[in-house]
Amino acid sequence: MCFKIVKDGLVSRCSFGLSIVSPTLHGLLVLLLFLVLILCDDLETCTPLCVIAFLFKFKLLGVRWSSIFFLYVENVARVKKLSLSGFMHYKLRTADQLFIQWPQLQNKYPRAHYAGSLM
Amino acid sequence: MEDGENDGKRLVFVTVGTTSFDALVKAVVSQNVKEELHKRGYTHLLIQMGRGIYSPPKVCDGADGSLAVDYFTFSSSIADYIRSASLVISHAGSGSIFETLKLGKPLIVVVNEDLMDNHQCELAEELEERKHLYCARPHSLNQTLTKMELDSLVRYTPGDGTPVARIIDRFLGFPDD
Repeated sequence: MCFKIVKDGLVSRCSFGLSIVSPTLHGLLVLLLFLVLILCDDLETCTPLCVIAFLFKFKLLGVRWSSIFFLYVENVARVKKLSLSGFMHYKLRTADQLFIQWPQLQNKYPRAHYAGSLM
Repeated sequence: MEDGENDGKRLVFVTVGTTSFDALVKAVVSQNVKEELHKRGYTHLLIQMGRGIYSPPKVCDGADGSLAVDYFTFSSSIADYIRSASLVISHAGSGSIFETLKLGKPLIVVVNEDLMDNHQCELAEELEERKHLYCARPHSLNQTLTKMELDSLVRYTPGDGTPVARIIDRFLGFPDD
């Protein structure tokens, strides 16, 4: 038996799918309407949020839901090649800007920004 | 690089961070390595062994011709231990490496060969090329200690986040100050 809160705390029965989707969407909408920038590094926990933010950047159903920016900073331990997350964001162009911390990576990944080490 | 100790105590601090690195702990308390450290004038050896299983035998101060050995598992901050050390031997974690370099202590990084994804050695090798530290493996630690010249190490200049912040500001449309 699945429920969702309809209004003013009133609860009604609904399908399982809707009970998952509805509060998540509400929460996300509130988050994304107010969130302007996601600055993220090489963590697995960031990736779902970044994917959702990327999807919401574009016009869905004719409406631009948010103008969220997503910037990715690569790990300082990545000297010769990008991490899997970094490589994914670079190739799929899901990050608006990708920062690297070593100049050697600039030749391999010309679209990345090298502005020195952060450590 | 001054160690600031004026009671003759010269400490070697070994850290494995939050990992388990028994190979390093065993290498550091092996006879060859302890003799080499003693020859170089070190008096105390303190090991932060993290999640490791192997506990080295503790040796009290005072025995002639040998290093005093002590260990602990974790500490909320190792900055004080690093500050009081004359030499730091660390695993290849970027946190440990940069914490030691920022405090200006001589550093030997030992790469864990048992790790699956060993991208960490890229960082250690790059910093060794730039002469900020020495890099070794557990089995070659003794040779590194014999050949090292700590005075030839170059002090590391910490990075600065200002250029990145400036790029981000410009990207978001904030005017340059």
